[in-house]
Amino acid sequence: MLGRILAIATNTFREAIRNKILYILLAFAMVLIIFSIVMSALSIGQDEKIIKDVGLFAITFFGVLIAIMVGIGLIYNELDKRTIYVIVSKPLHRYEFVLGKFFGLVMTILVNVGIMSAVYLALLAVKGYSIPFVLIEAILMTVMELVVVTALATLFSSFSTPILSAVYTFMLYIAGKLTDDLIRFASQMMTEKAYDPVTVADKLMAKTAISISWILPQLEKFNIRNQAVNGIPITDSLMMNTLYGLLYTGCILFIASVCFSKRNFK
Amino acid sequence: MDVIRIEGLSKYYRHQLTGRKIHALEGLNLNVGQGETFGFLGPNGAGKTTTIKLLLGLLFPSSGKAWLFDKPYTDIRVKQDIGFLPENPYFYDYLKGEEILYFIGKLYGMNSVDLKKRIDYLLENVGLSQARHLPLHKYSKGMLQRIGLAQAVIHKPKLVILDEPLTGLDPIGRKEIRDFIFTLKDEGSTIFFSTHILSDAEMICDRVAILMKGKLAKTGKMTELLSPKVKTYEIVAANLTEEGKRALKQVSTRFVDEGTQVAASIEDESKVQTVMELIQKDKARLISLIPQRESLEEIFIQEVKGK
Repeated sequence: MLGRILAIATNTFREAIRNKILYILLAFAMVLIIFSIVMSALSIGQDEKIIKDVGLFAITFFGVLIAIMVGIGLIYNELDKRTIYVIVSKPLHRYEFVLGKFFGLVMTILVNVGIMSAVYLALLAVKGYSIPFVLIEAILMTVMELVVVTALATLFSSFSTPILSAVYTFMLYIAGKLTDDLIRFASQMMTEKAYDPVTVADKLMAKTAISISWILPQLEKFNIRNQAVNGIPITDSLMMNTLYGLLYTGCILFIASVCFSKRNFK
Repeated sequence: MDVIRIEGLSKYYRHQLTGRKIHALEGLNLNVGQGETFGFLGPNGAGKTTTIKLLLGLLFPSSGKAWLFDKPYTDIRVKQDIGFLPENPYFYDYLKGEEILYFIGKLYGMNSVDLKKRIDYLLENVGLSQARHLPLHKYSKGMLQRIGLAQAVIHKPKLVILDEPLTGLDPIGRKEIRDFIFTLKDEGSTIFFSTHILSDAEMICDRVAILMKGKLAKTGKMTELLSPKVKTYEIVAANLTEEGKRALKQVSTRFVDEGTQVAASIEDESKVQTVMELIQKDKARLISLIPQRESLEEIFIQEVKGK
């Protein structure tokens, strides 16, 4: 099983690295990271903070773009180009195909984030700025966030067209960024106040908000960039958040596999 | 042991607007034995590709069952013994010839050393050694078909399923593919292939099935389908007397007098003996007597017309 998943993943990686769009995005990311030097020159006494902040933003932003742009066509293109006939007729389970495609894209993202991070950290070193371990942790948590986004793109690609997949994934990404606010909203609804007692409707709404927050990806769990740049202590358990990310990814890939397993390839 | 056994296999789709059932395949029953070269014939839309896709798990049947090597076709282990060439094969065009074979070999769990040897052998065999480093988007239709055949047999399968392998190829390309199929046949593989090029089927197949509008119209050995029906006897004779020519013309459905030679077509087998006696009596010379059998093409056309 692992051999087949690896074969699909390697092939997906090979396909992705021959995709020109990847290099365009990577080039833009590099330009932005290096451009942060210019931006920092315009600020007063905030050089280090701006360079660190812009660099982390570039890694995340372009990482998400790569995950969405490459991920949305991941499975759809196999159907569109009819390469799926050759693959599905081989002795492999359909879930192995989905996992192979997913891991192939994750490999692509790892390489890209690796390149962007190397440039980013080299820039910091050249400028003589400190590179605290939390900065590395922030990059690793960004990778976890990108893994979740990749899983979502894979899911939508398993039953939808690239354009719709892009829209769905992007919408879920935005919603995932706001789930913290949703949880905060729910806890406020449940807070007893003298002038505003908690009603049944409040409870119902809070419960609905919490349920939705469990369905949506809680992407802010992987965002420690602000803390890393500003030296703010991290209160969350990164281990637990990583575990959450892995479990969420597992669930999404399970749904993607089920969707894909039921498809007829006319 | 049947290599392929199909019982009552059906597949229908629903019309998107009306919801009406559209039958792509209806109650197909079929058996293919070990070592057979089986031709699956039918016009476009008859259900040939649907049947192949059902067997390979690309489509799910609406009803019916199928077994490959006496195991349910849904058991993915049976695919280890199957090689498949889809119609108009589409491969990852960014891959090179040898890369696609390596990738497919890995899907069959082959080890790298054996795989590399097999790739060298197959590329040589299908005449693509020179093109092994070329990306597939630079391959011609014939080259793609040949690399398609190579990937289908990379793991030495017991059953090779070929969907329209000869379509769209020039005569040389068709001959190459035919020769490749003969090699597989000699190696003892069971071959199941769909086609509407009947002359090729006639040349290659041991047995055929004709599919019409999703239903099995006819099945049988080539010898059974073709031999019993002698349509006409074509007779060419020389030095017949005028009286003999007149007598021959009377029993013929077609008669051509070219002076010393005459050509005649006779439908009734019993009249052949009469003609032979006539030639003998006239002391004429029999040049040829050829029974014209019904060709597969004619059987096919009759089935299409619903005769």
